Formats: sequence, structure tokens, C-alpha cells
Amino acid sequence: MKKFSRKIAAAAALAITVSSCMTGCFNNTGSGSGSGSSGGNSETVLRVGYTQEPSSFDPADFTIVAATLTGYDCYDTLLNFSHDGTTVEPALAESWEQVDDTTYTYKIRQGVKFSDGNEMTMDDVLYSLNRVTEDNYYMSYLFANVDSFEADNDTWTLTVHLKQPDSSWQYVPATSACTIVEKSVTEEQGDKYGTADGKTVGTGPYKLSSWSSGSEIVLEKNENWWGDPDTLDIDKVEYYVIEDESALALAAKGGQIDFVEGMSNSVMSVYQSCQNFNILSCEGTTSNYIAFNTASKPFDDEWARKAVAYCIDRSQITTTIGGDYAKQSAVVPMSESMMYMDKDKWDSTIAESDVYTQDYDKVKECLAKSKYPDGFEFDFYTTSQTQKQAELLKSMVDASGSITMNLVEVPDSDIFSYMFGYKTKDNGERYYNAVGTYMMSDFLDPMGMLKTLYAGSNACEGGTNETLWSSTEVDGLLDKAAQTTDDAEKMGYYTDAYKIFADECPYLGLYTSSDVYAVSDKFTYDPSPMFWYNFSYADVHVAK
Amino acid sequence: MKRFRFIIKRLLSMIVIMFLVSFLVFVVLRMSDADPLTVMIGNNQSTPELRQALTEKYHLDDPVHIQYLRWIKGVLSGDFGTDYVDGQDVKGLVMSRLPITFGLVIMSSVIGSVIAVIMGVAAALRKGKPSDAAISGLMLVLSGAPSFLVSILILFFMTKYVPGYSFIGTYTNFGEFLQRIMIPSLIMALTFVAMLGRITRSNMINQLQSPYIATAAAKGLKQSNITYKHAFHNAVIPVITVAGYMIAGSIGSTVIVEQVFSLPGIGGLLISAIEENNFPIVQILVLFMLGAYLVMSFVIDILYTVLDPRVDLK
Repeated sequence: MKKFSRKIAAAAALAITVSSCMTGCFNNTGSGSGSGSSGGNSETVLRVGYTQEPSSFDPADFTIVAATLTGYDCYDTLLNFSHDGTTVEPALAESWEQVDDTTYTYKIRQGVKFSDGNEMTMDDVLYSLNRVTEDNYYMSYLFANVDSFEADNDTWTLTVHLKQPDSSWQYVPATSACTIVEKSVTEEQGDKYGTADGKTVGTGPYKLSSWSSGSEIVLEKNENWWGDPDTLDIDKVEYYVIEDESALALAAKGGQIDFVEGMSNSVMSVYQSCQNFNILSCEGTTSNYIAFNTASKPFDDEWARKAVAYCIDRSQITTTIGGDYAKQSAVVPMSESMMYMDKDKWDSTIAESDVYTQDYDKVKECLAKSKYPDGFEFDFYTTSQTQKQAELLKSMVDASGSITMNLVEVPDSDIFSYMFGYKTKDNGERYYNAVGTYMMSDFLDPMGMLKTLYAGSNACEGGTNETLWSSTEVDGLLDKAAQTTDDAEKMGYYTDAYKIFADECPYLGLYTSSDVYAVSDKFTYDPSPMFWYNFSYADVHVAK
Repeated sequence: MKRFRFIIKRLLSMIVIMFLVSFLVFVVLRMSDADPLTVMIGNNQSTPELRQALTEKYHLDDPVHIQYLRWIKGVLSGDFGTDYVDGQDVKGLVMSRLPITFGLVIMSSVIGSVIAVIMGVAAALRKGKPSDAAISGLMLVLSGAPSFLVSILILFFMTKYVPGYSFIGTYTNFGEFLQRIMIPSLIMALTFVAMLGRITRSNMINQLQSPYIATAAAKGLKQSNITYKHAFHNAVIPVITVAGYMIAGSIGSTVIVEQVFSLPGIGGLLISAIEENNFPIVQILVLFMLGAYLVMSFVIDILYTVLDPRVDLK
């Protein structure tokens, strides 16, 4: 009887332990945040889910969506983009002026405090800008035309001297490149600044509260924010790292997540089936395309490029890979949101140019005119992220019977080295014959995409022109466009350049992707085309 | 004395194996196409100045054996280096991920082994009966069920039908820790149940059919004594061996449940480090997993001598 009682007691203890754990498990609703939105005096928590963790909160590392969804709100930039992305608005600079063709002045806001309570100084502003103009900063190309920065401590004025006139400079202060950090903290922290182990200090509406590596990041209201913290609906942002996309979708479906950005096509149906979620989309600036290496065989021959272009059914690629929230791109990779200056003129220019619809007879015609009448092989570089797309492209190209596309998959970490020419063959040639990739523009002015991709000055090591194609005529047109602020005149230069791009086909645009969000119906959010630079939880509101 | 000599010998061989394998891993990683500089620079502009500065900082132009000696010296003094991608301290990163992985391994192995042994013995005692067929069939199904699919299905079930079930976020106390790892541990335990249950059943049947059992019965020993004291005692020894290796191996297999249940453990850390060519993390985690495996096999050998006096240590 004694033995039996002991066994019963042990079994009961085990059962209690297990059941209490399970019960606790079921009752836990994510760090005690409750329903996310709560009334009365309790705080309003927005639970954000994403598959990646940011590497750091240092603005110098704001290269991935995870950083935009977390660190970006801890800082402010000199200016902000307007909600539609076409103009700029005051932020840390309360006003600005173009003094002459190459000089801009910015009146810096006084009395702004960092989240640690220290006041922002002109020294911090100057330090932040000099920090990102260093050659190794990933967005240093935005400052290639900057001759110098000058800070006047008495008048709180920042003066920017450009080397030559450039109307697109007006947008640069609204990009994350012009994020202001606190000099003393950044210098003291060194490499640790912004990491999970280090400090993050900014002037933004939110501040970093905690960071559990691989799991959870918490932001809370910055009571020192120069804007009014009381205007923020969201008191606390809990950012959860859920690497598996299906698990993330289930977390949203189970009501554990309120806000998701960038859902892929494969899990979209799960979000669409969530009755308490709204799917929002906004055409951004992301374009997916093929870049042909025009500096070596076979794509130094424009007819070889055109032959491949005619192999591809871009409509099928758009539907199969891009999904519901993608649009077929024009030959020049550029989204419709960037055609705001004169959409009709763009449309008529696109219609007048060759659009390269799949046509294997034209493939034969192009090959006959090329140096490779019997066809050719080429290496197409891709990563695991774009593998599906690459396989579909290969099936279309190989179906021509004359052209063979060899897929070369390289690690995600290496693709930039190949594309930007840091990794080349011994003779200096690039490894890839063609590469499948994507690009986001820094601003909606078409210059953001056209100069980045097509300018001869970018066809070099470290440059963003992966095709190495250049044309003095195009460079001249882009220079003229940069020197005018008249939209109609600009459009004339852009559309003239477009005709050359379509005719020479160094790039082949495939599709443009929209920014897609799943937002719990407890909250509202009005997305902006400039997600990368405009995203802020200050724009997420509790649904009335 | 014999046992002491055995322990010393095994410890020495473990140290040698650890050094050899760590050197091999270090060299093989550096023979791959991945360039540490590319990983460190990431999306930044790869200027010659930056490359030079990083090469000097991480001594990348030293011969590989010198780099290895510098790294292993650091490991022995508790400095695991700096992660190539995020610039974080590898030791801190690994230590912050250990509790989840240890928790998963311990809880799943304890729950799984206990259930497996109970089911295996129960099936063996009812050999040929419907309950044996049911238990054996269940174990067969479990052994063929892919962990990822099981995890996703259970997650789907829990989020859909169990109101308030949460699998996101971190933990701040032991209670929350248990809550986070409970369901994933049960899923991992299924592998133990499938494998150990079948081994327990077949060993138990073998033992129950042995002549010494018939002798014991003929001598008039109680059936429960024969079953649990004699047959079970002998049947469980091979089960312990397999369980030991499964426990050591399960450190690596935590990756699936960690990923699906968004648990910050070392399985997920290792996979992302391999994907990103983040050598310092890969090196230390491979070393850690090897160490766990060697320690486990050492413990099993010692346990053998305790459980079976016929086993001699040489």
C-alpha cells in the first residue's frame, strides 16, 4: 500500500507539473501584452512579426527590412519624405533653401534631445553626415557629388556644397543616410554601437527598451522625442523574430501578431484567410530584373541580349514568382510609382519602344543578326532567394533550343561581391554573364533608378551598374536632367534615355513588387511608397 | 585503479579528438569558396582600405595554422571571438542560446525515454495481442513522421484550437521558460518514443524468451520480480546506449523545432551561421556538439560498468 501510494503521489506530481506548464503555456499571450490594443489606462502594444533579426541598430547598417521595422524609429533624419513620396518635409531640419545651383542650407531644429536626455548639437549633425560619407558606407554613392558640409553653431545652419548641380540632392536628406546619431555615444561604443550588446541612442519617436538575441526586440515611447510623444497611439512595439514563414503566418492567424510586412507569395493565402487581418499593399520602388554583363561575351553583342529577352515570358514570371502584388515591369526596371511626373508620357514611350514579348521566331532572327547564329551558352548567377525565378527563366531560355542558360547559385553573402565587381576573374572580367537581382530606388524621381543602373560613372568596381554598359548620349541626358528642376524638361530627357535603354537592352525588367502588409483590424496603417525611408510606428494607429 | 586509468585514458583521447576535429573544421571552412572579408563587409562598399583594415584586425593574412592557434588559445581562455556578420561577442551569443537547447534536449529525452520504455515493456508483455500491434504500429508511424511536418501540424492545431496559446517572444523566468519549451519538447520526444520504444520492446521480448527466465520461473520467483528485476534490467542496457547517443545527437536536431516555434537556441544559430559563412560561430558550435557527444559516450561507458558487472573497462 505504501509503495502504491508513493507511485500515485509521483504520478500526480508529474501530472500537476506537466498540466501547470501546459496551462501556463496556453494562457501566455506573448510577454503579457494582452490583446495588443487595450483601452483604459493600460498601454497599447503592437506586436510585429518578421522572419529576420536586424544585425544592428546603427543607421550605417540599415540595409534590410528588419532594420527598417526596428531601428529606424529610434532615429530621425534631416528631412522626411511626404507621404506620397514625391516631396520632402521638415524633420530635424525645420527649413531649407537652395541658395544657388550647388549650395543648399538647412536650418537645424534647436532643443532636440536624444533618448538619453542629452541635447542634439550641430557637432552631432556634422559628425553623423561625415560618418556616412566615408567610402566604405554602403550608401556613400549618395554623397559622391558632395564637396563639403559646413556647420554654423551660432545660427544652427548646415550648408551643403555640391560639386556640380544635381536636382536629386533635394531628396538625399530624407534618406536614412542622413540619420543623426549622438557623437559621444557612437564614438564611445565603437563597433558595439547599435548591436544587441551595445547602446542605441537617437532622436526618434521610440527608443530601444530590450533586445533578446534571436527572439524579441522591444521599443518603447521616447519621452524625449522632439515631436509630441502623446500623439503616438502605440506605447510599445514588440518585434518577434519568427524565422519560419509558415510559423509566422500561424502566429498571425492565432492572434499573437498584429503587424507583418513583406509576406511571400507562398504564405499569402494564410493571411488572406485571417478574418481579423487586413492586407494592405502599396506600390513601392522595388524592381526585379536581369542584368546582362555587356563587357564580355556573349552579351557584349546587343543581339545576344535581345535573343534572351525574347525567350522570356515576363507575364508568367510576374504571376508565378511575383504573385498577386506584383506588376509586369517595363524593359527598364522601374515601378509605376516612379512615373508620377507624367504617367501618360511614360506609357506612350514604353508603347513606342520594343517591349520584348516572348517570341521564339524573333529569338532566331536576333541570333541570325548576332555573332552567334548557332546559339550560345551563358552563366546566370543567382542566390537561394531567387532560385525559383532562375529555374523558370532557365526553362524559358532553354526552350529556344539554341541558347543554354547555366545556373550558378552563389551564397547570399557573396552576390554583392560578384555584382559590384569586387570578385572578378584574373583578367579583371566579371564571372557572371547575366545576373538576376532586384533594386530599390532611394527616391521616386526616376533619376533614383536610371542613374543607379545606367550611368557610366556607376559601371565600375563598387558601382551599381551591374551591366557595365555605358553610353555618352545617355550620360549626357541624365546630366541634363540632374541640372533642371522643371519636371516637364526632366521627363523629356528621361523618355529620350528610355528609348535608348529599350533598344540596347542592357537590363531586362521582369516585375515590380509592391510592399505588402498584414495588419490586425485593431490597428490602421496607411502605407507610403517610400517604405524604406518613411516607415514609422508613429503612423500606425489604433482603429476607432 | 583500473577504472581511474580508463577515465584518464578516455579523457586524454577526448582532448586529442577535440583538437584534431577543431583543426579540421577550421581548415575545411577556410578551404571553402566563402571569403571572410566578404561576409564581414556585407552590403558595405568593399574598399581596399576597409579590406586591409579587416584583414589586419582579424589577422586573415596569417597562415591557417597560426590563425588556428590564435583562435584555439582564445577558446581555451574563454574568448570565442567576434561574429563576422553582426560583430557580436560569440561567447555571449552562444551562452544566451544554450538554455533553450539544453532545456529542449533534457526535457525531450527524459519524457521521451520514460514513455518509450513504458510503451516498449507494455508491448513486449502483450506480444502478439492487439495492444502490442497498436503500440508497435504507433511507434512505426512516429519513426516515419517528418519532424518539420509534425511541428507545423501541431502548431497549426494549437493556434487554431487552443485559445491563448503563444509560441513567440522570450522568457523572463523559469516558469515562462518551461512554457516555451514544453510543446517543442514533446514533439522532439516523439523521436525518442519511436526509436527507444521499439528497441525496448525487442530487447524485452528477447530477454523474456531467454532460458534464465524459464529457470527463474521454475524456481518459483514472482512474475513481477522476473519481469522487472531480471528481464528488464538486462533489456534496458542497450536502450541506455542508444538513448545516450540520441541525446547527444538531439542537440543538433533541435534546429527544426527551434525554427518552427521561434526558439532562440543553438540549433538555429548554427544553421544561420552556416548559411552566412559565419565561421567563428560554426567553429565553436561544432566543437561544442562534438564535446557533448564525446562526454555522452564516456558517461555511457561508465554507466555500463555500473549496470552490468560483466563489462570490463580496458
